[in-house]
Amino acid sequence: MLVNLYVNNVLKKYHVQAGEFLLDTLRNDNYISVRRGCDSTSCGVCTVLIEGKPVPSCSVLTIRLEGKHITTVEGIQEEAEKLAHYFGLEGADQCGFCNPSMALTVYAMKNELKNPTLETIKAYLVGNLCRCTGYQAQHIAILHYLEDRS
Amino acid sequence: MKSVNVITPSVDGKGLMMGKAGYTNDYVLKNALIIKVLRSPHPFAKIVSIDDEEAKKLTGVECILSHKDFDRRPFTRAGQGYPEPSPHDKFVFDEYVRYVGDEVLCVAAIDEVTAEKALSLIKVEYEVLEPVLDFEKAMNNVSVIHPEPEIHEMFPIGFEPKKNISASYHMHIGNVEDTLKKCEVVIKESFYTQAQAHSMMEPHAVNTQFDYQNRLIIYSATQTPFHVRRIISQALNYPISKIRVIKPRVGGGFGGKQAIHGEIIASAVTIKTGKPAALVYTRKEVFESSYTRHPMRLDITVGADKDGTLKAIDCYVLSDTGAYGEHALTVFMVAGSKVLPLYNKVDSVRFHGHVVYTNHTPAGAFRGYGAIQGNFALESAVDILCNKLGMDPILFRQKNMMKENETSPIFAIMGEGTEGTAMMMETCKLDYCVKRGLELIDWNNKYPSKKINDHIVRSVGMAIAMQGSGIPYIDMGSATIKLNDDGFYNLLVGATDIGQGSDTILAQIAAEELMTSVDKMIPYSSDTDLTPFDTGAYASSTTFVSGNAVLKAAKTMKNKLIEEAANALNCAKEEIGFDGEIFNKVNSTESITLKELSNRLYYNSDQKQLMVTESYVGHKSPPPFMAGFAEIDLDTETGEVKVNKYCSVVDCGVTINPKLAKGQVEGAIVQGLGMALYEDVVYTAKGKLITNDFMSYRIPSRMETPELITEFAESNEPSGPFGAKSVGEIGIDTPPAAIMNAIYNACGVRIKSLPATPEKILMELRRKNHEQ
Amino acid sequence: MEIKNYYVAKDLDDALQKFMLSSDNHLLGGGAWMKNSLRHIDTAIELSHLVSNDITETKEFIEIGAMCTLHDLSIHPAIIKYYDGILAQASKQIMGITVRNIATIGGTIAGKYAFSDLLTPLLAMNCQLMFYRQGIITLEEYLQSAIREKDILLKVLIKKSTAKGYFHKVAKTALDFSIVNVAVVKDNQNFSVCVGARPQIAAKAFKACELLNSSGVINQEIIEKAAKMAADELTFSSNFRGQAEYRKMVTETYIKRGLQEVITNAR
Ligand SMILES: Cc1cc2nc3c(=O)[nH]c(=O)nc-3n(C[C@H](O)[C@H](O)[C@H](O)COP(=O)(O)OP(=O)(O)OC[C@H]3O[C@@H](n4cnc5c(N)ncnc54)[C@H](O)[C@@H]3O)c2cc1C
Ligand code: FES
Ligand code: FES
Repeated sequence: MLVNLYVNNVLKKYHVQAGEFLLDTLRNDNYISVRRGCDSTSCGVCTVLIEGKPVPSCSVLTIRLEGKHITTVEGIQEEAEKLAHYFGLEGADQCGFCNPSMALTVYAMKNELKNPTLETIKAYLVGNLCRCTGYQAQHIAILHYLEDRS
Repeated sequence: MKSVNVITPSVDGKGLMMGKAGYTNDYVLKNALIIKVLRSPHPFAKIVSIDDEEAKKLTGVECILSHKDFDRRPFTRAGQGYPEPSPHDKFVFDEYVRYVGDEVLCVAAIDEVTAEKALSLIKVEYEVLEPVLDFEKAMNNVSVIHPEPEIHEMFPIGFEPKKNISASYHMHIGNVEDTLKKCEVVIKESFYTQAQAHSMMEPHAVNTQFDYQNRLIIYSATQTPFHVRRIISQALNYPISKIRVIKPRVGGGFGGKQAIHGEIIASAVTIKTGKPAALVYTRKEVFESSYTRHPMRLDITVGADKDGTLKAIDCYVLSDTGAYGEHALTVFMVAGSKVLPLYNKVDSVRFHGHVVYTNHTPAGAFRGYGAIQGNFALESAVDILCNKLGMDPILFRQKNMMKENETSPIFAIMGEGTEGTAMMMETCKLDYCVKRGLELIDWNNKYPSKKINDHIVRSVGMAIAMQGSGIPYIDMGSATIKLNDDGFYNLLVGATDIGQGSDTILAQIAAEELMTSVDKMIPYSSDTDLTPFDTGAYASSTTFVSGNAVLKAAKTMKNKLIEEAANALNCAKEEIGFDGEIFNKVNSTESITLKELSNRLYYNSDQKQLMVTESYVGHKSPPPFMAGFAEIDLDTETGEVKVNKYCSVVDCGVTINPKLAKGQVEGAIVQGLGMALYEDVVYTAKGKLITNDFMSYRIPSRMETPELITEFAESNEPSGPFGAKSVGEIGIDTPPAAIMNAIYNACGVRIKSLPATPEKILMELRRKNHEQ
Repeated sequence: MEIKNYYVAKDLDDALQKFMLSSDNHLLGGGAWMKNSLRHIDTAIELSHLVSNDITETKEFIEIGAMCTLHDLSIHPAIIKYYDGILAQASKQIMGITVRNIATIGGTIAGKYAFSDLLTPLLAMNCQLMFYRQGIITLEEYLQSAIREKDILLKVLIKKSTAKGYFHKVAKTALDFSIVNVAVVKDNQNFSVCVGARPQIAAKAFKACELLNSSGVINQEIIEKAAKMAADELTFSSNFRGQAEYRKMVTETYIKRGLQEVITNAR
């Protein structure tokens, strides 16, 4: 079946099986920043944005997304680079496997919440697991990133 | 230019955040066969027959491999120095399956759907055997998990498979029984730890292909590329010269990728079919069919005099290595060797025990590597003893713990499955760590506890810990530095960056010595064809061992540069001054820049490639030390515990990269909290793991993570590169004991088996209140 | 998971026809739980264009479209306002934003998940369900009916009220499923005490409610008695998340705290 998606604002036509999940569609099309951590909707590593909202791409059927806008980290390079800058200063990036999804979720949060506090940041990001960092350095980095209005 | 001990962003952080390719699974060829493994539904069974006729007929199925396709050549998957102190008790596939999830066979097909379809068509008949699921009943059980005749140990490790014993060990200093008899106060307790799961975010992944020289190229998410190369060669009887292992970025390891996982199967498929192949573990496979922390029972007896002098420690450990003996002996020994020296003034000490086989998921290396288990037992026991003595646990520790310029006889006795290495603590700031931690947590105002309201009690608890820095005389690291035109360098290391940031800190070390900036020192790890040997990322060895190798290489490179500059400027070496960018001839205005010199060496005169390689093997393993302090709120009506704050004060020598060092500590603390409170491992009565995904196995999320206060003691280890020791593991050791001590301080309940779930706490609390 | 066909229903009737055709045909909500619980689907039926995802207010009711996501639920002003926002709190505590952006209230109710954190407050609020075929029935009836009739949930109706509410989820970590969850609603002098994930599906503690409703003044003694009564009348059992005994103990504690809260925090 044919589905038209706007991936990072580029119209893409995908021929997919009924049971194909967005994660596979994107990876097969070389959006390799989208990665699989669990395949059971529970780690957040596969996060992409659909119409600006963070979702687990491992659990969303591609066929249901006709005409939708999908954002991967390839689509928000500038913001990701800026966030990475603050992560770097805090040593908040270790293995990096969770980081593209982190960038996307933080980006969505920035658009959705006004002046988030540490507690609201934690609540918004709670589904994005990270086994390396112990989280705190990420939070500090994210707060700095949000303060940077440049 | 200063590169060491200054804030330096990791070299790969930005690219990875921006979604660049980097991990094993990003390098799978489009035409790679997809491998799926058929796994045992039984904890212990003999394969009677395999009917794969239907599967073979399926279009797209390229090969099916089972035990019939391999010679019986036992090996160990443990990623350790050779000969390994782990029993050679594993076959590629075997006619026995020894745990639910054990490998029966593999299918390689053109895509995942076909491979899975094929698996469903294969019929395996099993003769189900009586499993051993209780590790306390494993020894001398009538069920023998490894009856096969070919398996063996590489040197004596106490291997007695007929008794289900994978390894055993005994050591003593003084006569513990006599000392204990003389002690005024003695306590004896047993502690249990669980089979914690590493839960790195990147599942185990490997892909294989033949290159244009017909050599086997293996991309693997591994911590030990050189061990992988050696083990594959042994297991498949394939020439080692034809194997190249490439370790790209790795999405976390924590010990879970120290041993071989899918590499042998993927290699076998490629060798058999000539085609590229890829194997990525599902999350369920990561949980059920990779490795766990060794669950242990630690029986510990400690005795002291009334004045608080610790006299004797006796520790017996029963460790469960699961179905195979990867790291069986060494993890268990570290429960003693990197824990007991903390209290180095005792008259006598004994450490002994057995590592047994059971029909559970195999245990293997995991950050802390036995030390966390031992620390939990000893540091809990110390608080129990203090309670009985009526003595302040801080004073007790301050009196009895290791100090700078002291030693422990244990260092000389216990090593990596063999004898150890005597050493003096040239740096040990434990005293400071404790003192500073007391301030940070505000101990004096909070100890032992305070009632917040009718059901919340706030309390504090603490523990001290030590680890090591590589394995002396065994762990070897090496580094190559190459000068390029324009005056930038390549740093090639076998040391394995698995996310801990070793590429960055090794580049910092080299940059510091060569007085250049980190962006001119391009690190590359690890590739068995291109980078020099390194044992790998384990045993807290990278900063200390590999770091020393890098420092040596940088020094040699510096010498060479000065030599070449002297040539260029027509003077003696001694007349050259170098600041990292410019070579000056003394007492003259003549100079040459590094850029000019390197271009000259490439293109103009005296042409040559400057490239140096140096190696380092430790003659000691200076332990990092730390004190960890927890503040918790405990709900006495529900048993729920909230950790408010965790203060860590760490002596890891000079921090090469302060923020990354902090990251190592904080990440480890949170993993330790997971082990202490949340990460419950549950099997069914039939030996199947229930907690086999992130919905049932709960690693801490950011909501469970307390405020983390992490500081480093001022410390400068003479044997370390620029004063550094190690910091990769030490952070994980204290949370279990510190939290259990805090729970006791809150409500008088002593939890001796991890994790301390609210249910356990409440049940104990009710029992206690009932008894009173 | 394998899905053979994807079918965009023409209208609700068409959807229901297709749904009835086979036990392997399923209606798609957010698809989050299906992904993790079903191995084989013959036809997945798309409803999102036929069933609302909106939250609207009438004079008497808050009407929640079955396709409403948990995230939208958790941030809607009316959901936050009424019953002290217990439905919003319960939604907020389910997984992270990504899951809440796809999981729907319809899928949650239709799935009748015993672990559900939403069913408990919904039951305590005595909500009604609007199905395509059966029309409007109460959630209570729906949960009690053993046979699962094939039907399409269209809306969830919550009566507006100034009632007080309390919700608490007992779980090991923020992302975990409940060991138990407790909801208490006090609508004037009418109490509703419900407990879910026992691990059986949410149920009301009728005897305890009766005791509370028939006591004029509710003092600490009555509260404790009612909490104990509720814990006694409801059944609990054990699984790897918790033993029956523990579930019962914390249920009693949290009902007690819930009652204290809805009584003392009078508006
Ligand atoms: C990882 C994970 C963790 C979770 N943790 C929690 C938790 O802690 N607490 C909690 O309460 N919940 C939890 N949930 C469940 C979640 O809240 C939803 O209840 C669940 O995902 C179902 O919603 P859905 O929209 O995904 O339904 P789907 O998976 O799409 O559907 C579920 C069922 O409902 C049927 N259905 C869907 N819509 C309709 C309709 N309109 N009419 C009739 N039938 C319909 C489907 O056919 C299917 O049988 C979790 C879910 C996941 C994936
Ligand atoms: S891979 Fe999708 S949530 Fe983990
Ligand atoms: S940095 Fe490794 S999982 Fe987050």
